[in-house]
Amino acid sequence: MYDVELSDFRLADLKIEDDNYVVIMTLINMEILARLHYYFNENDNYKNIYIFGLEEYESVIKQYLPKCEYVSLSKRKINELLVKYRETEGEDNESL
Amino acid sequence: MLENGFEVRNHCRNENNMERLNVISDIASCFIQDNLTFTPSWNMKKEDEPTTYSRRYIGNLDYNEENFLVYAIYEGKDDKYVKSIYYDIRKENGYANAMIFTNNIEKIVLHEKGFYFGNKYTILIPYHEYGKFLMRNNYAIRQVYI
Repeated sequence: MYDVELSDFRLADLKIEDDNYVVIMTLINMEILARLHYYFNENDNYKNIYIFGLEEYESVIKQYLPKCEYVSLSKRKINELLVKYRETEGEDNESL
Repeated sequence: MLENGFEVRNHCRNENNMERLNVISDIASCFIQDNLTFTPSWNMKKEDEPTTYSRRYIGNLDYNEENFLVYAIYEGKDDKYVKSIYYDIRKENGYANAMIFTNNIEKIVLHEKGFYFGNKYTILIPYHEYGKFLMRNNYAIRQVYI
């Protein structure tokens, strides 16, 4: 739906362009979060990681991963995304 | 519990257990609405296995082609209980995924022990109606971007 490609970097979901990656984390997966934590700590030349997550998680994620970029998703934004998904993909493809 | 399709055998008079049963019922009803396969903890024991005591999971869930042990940290549960959940998940040696319903995400993310176990998923779900909504729509939300 957006102009992105699947990530070639194992810790991210999507690649925007060189060294810019996105992790979609509307639900927190601690396993990914911990791997990112070690990735940032062990690499000086780390990639830019944008975490898309709930507004209410922002402060705690920024505390855990101070080197990540956090993009807050409000409830309104999430609802808009779902409407968009249903309009383009339809209910037929929806699964959990 | 009956409304959710679970057999109820005895009245429970222990207040702690009553609260646990209420939470299991509440979470199970959310899964059942979406036809997810949830097995409450008391039905998880296999006949050929010895009984295990003091496990903290409330049940087992098939979700998104993966299997999860489900935990809940609800009102009144203290730091000791959170730590006991950490040790309970660790007992699985990284072979089981975990799903934790909690109203205190911060306590888990910033926990001194590090709430990660080398498995594929340790998912945190805010324990409120919107959290359950997110769980049910997680696939769709992710697909919008992908």
